[in-house]
Amino acid sequence: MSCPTFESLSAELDGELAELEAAAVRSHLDGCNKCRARRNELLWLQSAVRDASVVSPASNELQARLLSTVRKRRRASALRLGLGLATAAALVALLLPLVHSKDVIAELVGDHLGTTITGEEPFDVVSSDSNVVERWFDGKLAYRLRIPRSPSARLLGARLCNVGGRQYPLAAYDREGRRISLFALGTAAGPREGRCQEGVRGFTVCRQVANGIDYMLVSDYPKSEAKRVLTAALSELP
Amino acid sequence: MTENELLTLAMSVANRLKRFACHLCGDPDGAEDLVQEGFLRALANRAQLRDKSRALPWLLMIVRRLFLEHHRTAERQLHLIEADAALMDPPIGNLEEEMLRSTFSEELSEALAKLPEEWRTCLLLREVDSFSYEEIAQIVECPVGTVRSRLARARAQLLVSLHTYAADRNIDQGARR
Repeated sequence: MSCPTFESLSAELDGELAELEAAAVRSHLDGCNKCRARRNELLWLQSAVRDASVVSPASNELQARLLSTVRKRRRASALRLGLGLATAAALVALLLPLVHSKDVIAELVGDHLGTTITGEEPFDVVSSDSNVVERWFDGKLAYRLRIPRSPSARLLGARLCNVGGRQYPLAAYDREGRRISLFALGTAAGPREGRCQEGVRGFTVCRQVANGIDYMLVSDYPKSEAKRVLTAALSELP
Repeated sequence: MTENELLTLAMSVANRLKRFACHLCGDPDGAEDLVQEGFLRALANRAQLRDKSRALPWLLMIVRRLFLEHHRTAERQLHLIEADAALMDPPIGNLEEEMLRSTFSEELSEALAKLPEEWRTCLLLREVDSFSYEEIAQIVECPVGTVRSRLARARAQLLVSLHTYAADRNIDQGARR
């Protein structure tokens, strides 16, 4: 085989030649000092280009700008299409029979959005042990909070969210790389089967009463999956 | 792809988006503007994305399109250099050794900056981000064969520039054809 073209050597280096052609080039390299030297120089050039291409990492400001872009877009979209009213109406129909105003729910979903997107972990208690988290809430709430031990999700931590002067416990989980927020909205008569609504500030909200507590799960799962996750988690309650 | 999925992706690859934008425009602050603008356009057009696994190349393609909309001169520059036949047979020497003994990295950065945008973009997508030729073709919106050719030309041009620099400084003692 005569010397391969520079373009063939370049593509061979990238593993982008067809198998037969690549084999021919490699075989040629074994017996050709000139082509071997050229290939070595190309190899060196690869690492030199990588080293010369360092860019300072994205600033926190960029991440905040991306988040802000979505928020502005959602606000504009809601205004334009009247989705704010539609969402509120849907919430009234599906969720509010279980108490709580849409504002509280929207605020809590906003908390979920903030921690999910920014990756910040502003927890008051960081633990994967439900007992530790439950003990942390003891004395801080008017009721005894039970934190589900989900077999399919890892508990990350918990905190109290203040909305309108009231404290709402939040337990955050990681389920296969996706963030789930479980809020407790207070005590309620029950049990009551889960009810779900998609598209609440872009997320799926499911509520279910178990052990006398009104739980609300916020996730980006479709309605059916979110309901299944919540039901499974609450079925693990002692 | 939902807005949240796109946002989550963009946040997780913010560094790569910024690096790509920075290589395009050469300005870290301008790069963040470009990424934000590109992200906004991606949100508006996310229904066009059929395959979620291709979301990152798709985002990069949008960022580059935006850049090109602002910098149309790149195309003219490409035609000026593409005609240089010497690029298909650059010299061979001992650049690696010289690199260790000199301040070659600055010259390499300069040489990279002087490449036509199309070549430089293909090269950096390959060397820094390790995209396949097919993915690069998607990002820069050209056939795979063109990617292969641009990569070879970019590498050849860099070698020519570095050997010229080495010769000018009398530091290239290696074999020259």
